[in-house]
Amino acid sequence: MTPSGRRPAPSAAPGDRRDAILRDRARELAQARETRSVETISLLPFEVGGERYAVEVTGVHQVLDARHVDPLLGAPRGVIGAIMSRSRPVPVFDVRHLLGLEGGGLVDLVRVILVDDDGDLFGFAVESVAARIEVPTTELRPADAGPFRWMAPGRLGVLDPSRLGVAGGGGG
Amino acid sequence: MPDVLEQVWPVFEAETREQAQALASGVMDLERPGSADRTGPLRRAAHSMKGSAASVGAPDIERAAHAIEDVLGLADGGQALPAHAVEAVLRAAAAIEASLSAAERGRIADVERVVGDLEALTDPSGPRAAGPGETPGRETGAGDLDALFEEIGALCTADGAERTARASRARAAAERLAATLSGRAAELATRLARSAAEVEGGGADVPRAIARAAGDLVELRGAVHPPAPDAAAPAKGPRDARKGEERSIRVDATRLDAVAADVDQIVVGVSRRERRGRDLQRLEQALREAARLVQRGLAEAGLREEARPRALADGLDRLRSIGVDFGRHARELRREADRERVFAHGLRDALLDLRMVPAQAALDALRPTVREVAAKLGKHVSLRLSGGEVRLDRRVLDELKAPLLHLVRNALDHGIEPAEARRAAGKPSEATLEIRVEPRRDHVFFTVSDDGAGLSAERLRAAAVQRGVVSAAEAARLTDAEAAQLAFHPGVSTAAEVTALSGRGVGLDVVAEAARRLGGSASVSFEPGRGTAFVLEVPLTIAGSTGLLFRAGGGVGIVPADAVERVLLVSPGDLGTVAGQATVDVDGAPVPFSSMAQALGTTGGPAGTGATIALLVSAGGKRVALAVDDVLGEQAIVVSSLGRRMASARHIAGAAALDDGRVVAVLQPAHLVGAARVSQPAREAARVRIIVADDSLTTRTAAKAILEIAGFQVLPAADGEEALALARDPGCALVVTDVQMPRLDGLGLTRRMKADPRLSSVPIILVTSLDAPEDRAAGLKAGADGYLVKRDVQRGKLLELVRQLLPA
Repeated sequence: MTPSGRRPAPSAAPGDRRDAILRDRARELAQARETRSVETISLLPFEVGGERYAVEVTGVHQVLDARHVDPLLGAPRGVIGAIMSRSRPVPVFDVRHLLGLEGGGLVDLVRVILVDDDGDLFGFAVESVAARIEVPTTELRPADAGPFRWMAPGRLGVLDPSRLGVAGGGGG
Repeated sequence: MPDVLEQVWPVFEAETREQAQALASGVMDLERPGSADRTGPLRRAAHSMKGSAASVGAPDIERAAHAIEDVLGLADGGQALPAHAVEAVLRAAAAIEASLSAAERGRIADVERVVGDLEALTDPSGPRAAGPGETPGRETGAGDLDALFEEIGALCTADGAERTARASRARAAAERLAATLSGRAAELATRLARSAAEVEGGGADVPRAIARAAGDLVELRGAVHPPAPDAAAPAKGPRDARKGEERSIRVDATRLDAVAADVDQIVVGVSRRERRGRDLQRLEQALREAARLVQRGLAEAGLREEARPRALADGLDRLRSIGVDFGRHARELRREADRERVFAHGLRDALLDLRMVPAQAALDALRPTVREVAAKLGKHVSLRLSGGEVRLDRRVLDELKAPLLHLVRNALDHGIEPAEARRAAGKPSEATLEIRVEPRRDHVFFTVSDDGAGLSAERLRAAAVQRGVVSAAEAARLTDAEAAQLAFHPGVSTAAEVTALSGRGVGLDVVAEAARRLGGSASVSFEPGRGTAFVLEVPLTIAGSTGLLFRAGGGVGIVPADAVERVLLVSPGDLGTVAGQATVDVDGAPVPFSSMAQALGTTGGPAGTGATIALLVSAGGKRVALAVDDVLGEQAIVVSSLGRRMASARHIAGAAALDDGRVVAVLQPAHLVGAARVSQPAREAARVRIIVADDSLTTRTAAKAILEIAGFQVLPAADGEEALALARDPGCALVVTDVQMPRLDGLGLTRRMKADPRLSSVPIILVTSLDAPEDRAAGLKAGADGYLVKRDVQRGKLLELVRQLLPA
């Protein structure tokens, strides 16, 4: 670099070149920063009916052991029972029929994911819960069908809690 | 809106809402001439609202309040306020209330029109729109007070040096006022000066100081301008609580609910502890028993005391002393639990009392609606409210607001006839709409009655048949009073056309459902041409209650104990049928009988056969006996809602945690009563028809009841001939017959049916009083498909066999 700090550039040409170099550098730096601050969302992957799905971590209230679910007398189809979450009973749904998954008994469901849908707390039972993952938002595609909000890479359906678990008609 | 306002806003919002509601409900009384002092409280409310709005920087509300205040002045001296003025004030009050929860808080959507309408009333030269910067309080005449308003109003939105400067000017004005005023006003001015000084000094407490200053300013305004002649008169204005202000605080209701939920948990915790105490006591007894057994064993073995191994004797001693310890702990635990129970229940009652509010607020909220809707429909309606002093749980009242509104709209729209029709019917053209609140024991009755045309039972019947709620035959059987209740079914309406006000699909079923969710009920009565009365019966409070725990349909459930009149032991002799509905005799009256599992629509567990335990459940004045497998006892419960997603499961009111930690469904008594009583015509048609032939009326009735409870349609026959005639009608799926009968006995019937190609495939069960091998052989030889001894009928064997033999 020329000792530009002490005196002005001797001619226009080197000055232009310096500006060009600085501009390029600035652009590179800006791009580098942009990549680093890429926006991601945290997902909690889980398995149900042998398939892998996920929910956004921000919507998850608690993950509990499904052994603590008590059946509810007269509960409608699709309601497994209720579970206590911080001294409050919360209904637990079987999302398998909603997801079009056949078969599998209740014993297969070992975890309950409790989600908060705009103040309405409910749970759905799953077979297993994996460690959370970070997915760049740029890699998410809006889902056009089913109870999903996004499709994440690897055809991972991200559930939309607001489209889940409405008790299927009165059992009475 | 700047951050500082975030802290002031909730107080302002609550206060302004209260004032707007008071204005709306009070202004209607001004339509008729009255006492000279009646505008006082209302003008004060408008005035305070204006001041507060100025101080939080809500110019729209400020302008509207100012204009309302001016309009109220028209009624000074006891003059009547013109109807259009009343309406303009009502619109303005509603607009102010709506602005509190608008996207841009405090912004009145159509402020120019709202204010213009009001100003046109006081300004004969025509509507005028005041500029947003117009300073209120021009009538005060006290420059310092105005300056204070301006400075403190601007404080909220100012920052840095500007804020300090304004605070300094406000302090100076307040100090001057403090020097010139006296008494309470001087005190307030001094406080204001102090608050302004705090703002001037800056620091973390600035928002609070501004909020305090704003509050004091409003009060100061009231103190400087005493509301003229009526100051001493007791009135109902919201500000009249001012006297007791220092002794009361405003608490966010959700916080109170959170505390209540915690207290409920404490109450449940206490009963859990009581149970632990009982468990310990049982352990103590078991230990003593074990020690006694060992002792007896030693004695029986012939071992003398001195010959026993020392370790054995020591062990025995230790067992006894542990038993004693257990006993002591158990007693202490129970004593503690007793003490805690007293405190916990006291706490719960005190808290409940805090949540009890007068019904007046809910009634007042209806006034503007009545006024507005009646005006829109061009109907003259006099509204009578009574029982506003009745206190009930705020949560109950909140839940009832929408249903009451619906009933009021419904009455105005459909109940009350247009004036011409009323005159033609010889009624006064002004209709009466009455809303009455009456407490009865631990329930409250809300009655919304009108003197309109009354319901049309015929139209309700027709609508219900059309919607498939009842069959035409059933509809015809209903009395007019019963037919009226059809109005609560979804989709059933007598309204000939859907109007903008009611009848928009959200019907009376929603009203009934709201009452049911509260553990109450809805009913309607009418007199043709004279009027209709809707009654909502609700409990005084939604609180922790006692539940009766039972087992049925393969699970455990709870019914609120106050809905269970008693537990019945039902023997087959108590059962009968009335119009196809299984009934049980309770104190000489037939009560609908069903199995709990059936009422819940679950499977599992036999339908009541033999001696059955049944819960006599009552709701909304109706009773039903529901057979359960077992009653497990009573328990203190707290019913928690299961959220929106379970709202469609109408028979589940919520869930409660038992003292052993299990979560159990709490059932909705009103729904259980409805489910067990409804005899659905469609289901009836699809029901399997069974012929029961027996010459003994008792046996016939018992078998009939057992089969009917299980959902079968039963045709009784007194002998074989009769049974054969019935079997030849199409639709017979099975025959249950006694062996010995007059005319044609069971064996003869079997032989003839099996010989008839049209009937040979119908399964036949022979029932006899003796289990003689030769009878059985004869029966089977005749072609019977099953054979039963009478005593087995009541043990559930009949149903078992019937289900086996019927094609799936």
